[in-house]
Amino acid sequence: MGRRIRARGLLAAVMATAALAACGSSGSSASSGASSSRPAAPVSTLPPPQGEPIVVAMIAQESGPAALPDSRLAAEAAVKYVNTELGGAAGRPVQLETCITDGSPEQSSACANQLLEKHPVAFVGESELGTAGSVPIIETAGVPLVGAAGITPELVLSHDAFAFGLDAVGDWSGWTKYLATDGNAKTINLINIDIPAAPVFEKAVRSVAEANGAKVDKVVSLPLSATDVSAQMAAASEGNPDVIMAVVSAQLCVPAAQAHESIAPQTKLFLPGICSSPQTISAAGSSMDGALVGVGSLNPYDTGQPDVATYRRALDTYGDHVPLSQFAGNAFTAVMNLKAVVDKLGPTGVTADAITNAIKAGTNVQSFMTDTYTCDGKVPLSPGTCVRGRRVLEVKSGQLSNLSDQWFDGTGQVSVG
Amino acid sequence: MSSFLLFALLGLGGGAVIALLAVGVVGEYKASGVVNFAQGAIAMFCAYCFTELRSTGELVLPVVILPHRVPLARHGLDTAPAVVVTIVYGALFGVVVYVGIFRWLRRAPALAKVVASIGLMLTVQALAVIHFGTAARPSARVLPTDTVTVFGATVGRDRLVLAGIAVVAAVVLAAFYRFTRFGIVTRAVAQNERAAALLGWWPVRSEMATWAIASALAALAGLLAAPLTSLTPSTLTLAIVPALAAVLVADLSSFTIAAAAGLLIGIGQSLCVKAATTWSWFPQRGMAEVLPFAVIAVVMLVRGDRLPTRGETNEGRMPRAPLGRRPFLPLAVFVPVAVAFTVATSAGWRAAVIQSVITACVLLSLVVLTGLVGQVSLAQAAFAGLGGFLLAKLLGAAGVPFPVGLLFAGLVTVPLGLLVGVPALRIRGINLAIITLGAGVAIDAFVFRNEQISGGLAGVSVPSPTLFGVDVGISGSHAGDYPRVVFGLVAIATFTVLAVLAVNLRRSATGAHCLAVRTNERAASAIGINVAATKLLAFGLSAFIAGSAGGLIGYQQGRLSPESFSIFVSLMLLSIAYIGGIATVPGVIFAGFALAPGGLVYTAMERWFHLGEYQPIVAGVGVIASAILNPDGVTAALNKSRAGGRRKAGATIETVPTTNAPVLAAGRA
Repeated sequence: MGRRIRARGLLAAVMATAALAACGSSGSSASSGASSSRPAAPVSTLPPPQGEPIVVAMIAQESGPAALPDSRLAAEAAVKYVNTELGGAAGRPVQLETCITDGSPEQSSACANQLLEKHPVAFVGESELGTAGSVPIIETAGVPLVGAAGITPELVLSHDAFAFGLDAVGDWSGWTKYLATDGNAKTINLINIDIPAAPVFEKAVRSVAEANGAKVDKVVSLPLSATDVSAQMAAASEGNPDVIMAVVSAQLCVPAAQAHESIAPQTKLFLPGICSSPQTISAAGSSMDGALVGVGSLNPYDTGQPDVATYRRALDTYGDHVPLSQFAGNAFTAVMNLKAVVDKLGPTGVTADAITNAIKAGTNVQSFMTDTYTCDGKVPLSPGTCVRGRRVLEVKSGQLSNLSDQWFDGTGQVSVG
Repeated sequence: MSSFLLFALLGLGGGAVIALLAVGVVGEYKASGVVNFAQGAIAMFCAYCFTELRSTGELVLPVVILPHRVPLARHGLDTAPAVVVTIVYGALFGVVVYVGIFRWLRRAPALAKVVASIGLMLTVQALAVIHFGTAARPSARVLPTDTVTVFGATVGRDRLVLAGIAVVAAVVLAAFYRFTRFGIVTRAVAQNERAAALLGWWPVRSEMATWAIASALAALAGLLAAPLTSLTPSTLTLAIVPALAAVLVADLSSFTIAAAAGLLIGIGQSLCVKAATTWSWFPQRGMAEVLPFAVIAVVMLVRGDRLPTRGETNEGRMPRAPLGRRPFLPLAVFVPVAVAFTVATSAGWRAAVIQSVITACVLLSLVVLTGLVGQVSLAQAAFAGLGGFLLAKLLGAAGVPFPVGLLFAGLVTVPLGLLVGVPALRIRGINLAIITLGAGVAIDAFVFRNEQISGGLAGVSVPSPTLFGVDVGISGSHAGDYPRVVFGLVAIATFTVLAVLAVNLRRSATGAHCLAVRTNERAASAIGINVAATKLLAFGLSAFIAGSAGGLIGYQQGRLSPESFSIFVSLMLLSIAYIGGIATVPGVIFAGFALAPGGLVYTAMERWFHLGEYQPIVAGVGVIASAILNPDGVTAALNKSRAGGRRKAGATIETVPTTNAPVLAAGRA
């Protein structure tokens, strides 16, 4: 399936493309020779932002069950890039307010209250695990969660959260669509992490696989606190499936790849985007070679793409050693898409409600580094899914390489039964 | 059949890690009577140090603020020297831990030893978070990575080598303590310290050496296990739960049985995976985590009377449970202050007050159970979670009013409290802490992660509470109306009711019975107190309070998350209650406001100084210091210093009942 650009959204898409083309072209021209040292920020031809800052907020999880500092680092770099080179948002400077949580609902709740006192118009790149504490507060305040990572029930189910290429249902349905179509997989075995959302992963994979002529033969549960994936990998390899899809947490990416290498090397291994960071691929070494990795955005190594070139150059110029992880990409996308929305609203019309309405009103809107987005709340089990398409990459010699230039959308085939 | 053999062999890797930790814990217990809950955390920290040595050549010290990196090489060390340095580092870690903490607790009650080791666990974990972050970190492989075929099953050679190392370590230690002079001295000291001292043996030296050996083993376990799973501050730390099951199977005394039990638990967990994919009737998830708890429960029930510490009467003094002449005075002061704060502050500070009050509600359950009856429970968060989830699940759609909902949440939790309390009829102290720890982990894995209970991706929603048809929930109808003052008042009212319940229990004859049981079960029984009934009453009441507080958490969050009720939350609750004063209502008020994550002082630290990340380390170090220096808690120390001030001024000193007094009171009752 290719890009789904419909006529109704063409105008918006063209406008957004025009705005982003400027970013892309400036990125391309400045990225040459920028790899060895921090490049100097190019002189912007746009007037510097003026007026009262537009406050955006981010709750960043940097300790606890999962540390995701990449999100904050990338959002900070994106905001600096927008203010320095793109003239801010609607001509006004963007101000990012952050609060660090350990992912517990209690601390995230405190963060939400603290940030709301600064009157943000949106939360960007929300990717933390304490959302049971934070999201109800943010929803009550009527502030949208732009670019929220749909990794918790609250973010997946919230009608004020908008996921741009990183959410459980969109991810697993799109990746399964690829495996069952272009990937030629007829039998898939699933290693499924034991969290409350596990049955949803299974439903998404199973229904999309069956809709495309494949089947899920075996589902193996993986305890959240597991120290060894060997037994699960051995169980998943029984019956010689074409692919073993491993829904794992970040700390089990490398052990899963190593267990696969020693127990089931003849079967293709599929890992989620959380395993796509350079550190993980480097640590896994040869054990991850040949593995498939699902992502929700363009390949961050494919600098031939204008958006990717812009992203890489902005991180190099304004970031502080930001890893090329999916959470970094998601936060950067969130800021860039929010800027595009605010640009349309104009300098005086920027409110939380206006942003929410503008995002919900768009159809097939051009999105930075991802497939287009439509926030109509119609994806089964996941009303927050806006970007439907996903891609699958392959690890080759420690690098992520493209398998297809298409986006794979499985959301229409997800069954809630 | 060879398929089952394959899974059994695959389980040897995890089993060996459990075995190595268990062997170390047995050594520490034999030497100093401490069951070290921090053994897994020490293994984790040493494994991190090993990865740092390999990658940067720097040794990371377990300190904050001071310089903590010592360069040993310009670049990363090779594997062999890094292994040696890490094991020596682990041994020194054990010496420091013993000299700095457990040496001072040699005659302390079981509760003090338990909370000190939990404090150590929280501290080491917090240090790891600060120094290494929580992102998963892969570790270089130390053992061979090729595969071997055993009876037709192909497995990694590293699993077999790891299991071999665990067995050899256990056998060598057993022989060492049985046949060497040092080992005989250590055993003699453990059995009769005074006699050993009279013969010229210095107990501290043998205990210190044992701690060094045990921590070196933890370091070895950590650096060998880390490649099997990426390093995070929690993964290896939680491996202590199955290790404690193995320790109990070994009667806290046999190295070889502990190692064998550890290996068997690992094999059993691996076979659970095979069983779940082979038989449809077998539970599909959670069995691997439940297995250690099942082992613990069976061992406790079958052999509880043979386990050490049963009926010990020579333990040190438990924290004071003073009542004072005006037992409701602290509440009379607290309520108007809390109400004023709730009404007068902005949303962020009001949320912090609400969080403090709700945490104090949960902590009241520990006042009843641990403070008054001396039963150490590490499952309080699980009790609270059960109340919250069942309230949401069973009454979510019914729209019952607020007091009835909380009453329901408390009552439905009571059977679980009684169930967990049954083993307490035969055991107490450290053993009870272990079984409640296992219960907490099992409930988290089997209940809270169960889609039927937790609602899967959709979660479970707790509707806004109502009173006489009026919404008294935390969220208002319009944007920005959060948290509402009225919900703060609901939380304060709930705390007040539960606190009055706890104070009245303390004032009653039943309260005196509780303290008598806490002081000496046999003496209490001799004067006619029904010890079993008293313990079960405490477990039931504690579960009721925790369950009600869980319901309040449900009202606060709207949609419940298992993360609010994990085992680490239980450990944190016990720690901060102990620091504040686990036997008194003012103690838990202090703990809720000054020490709770998201509470008032936490919020101030985060807003003004950005020091919120240091809360776990403050709690960890605080609980260790309390266990050693001030087991009565901060509020008791403040009272004492106030009484001292009055004494100097010639004022009359208020009579404060101590733990000895209730025995007499109980006799009169």
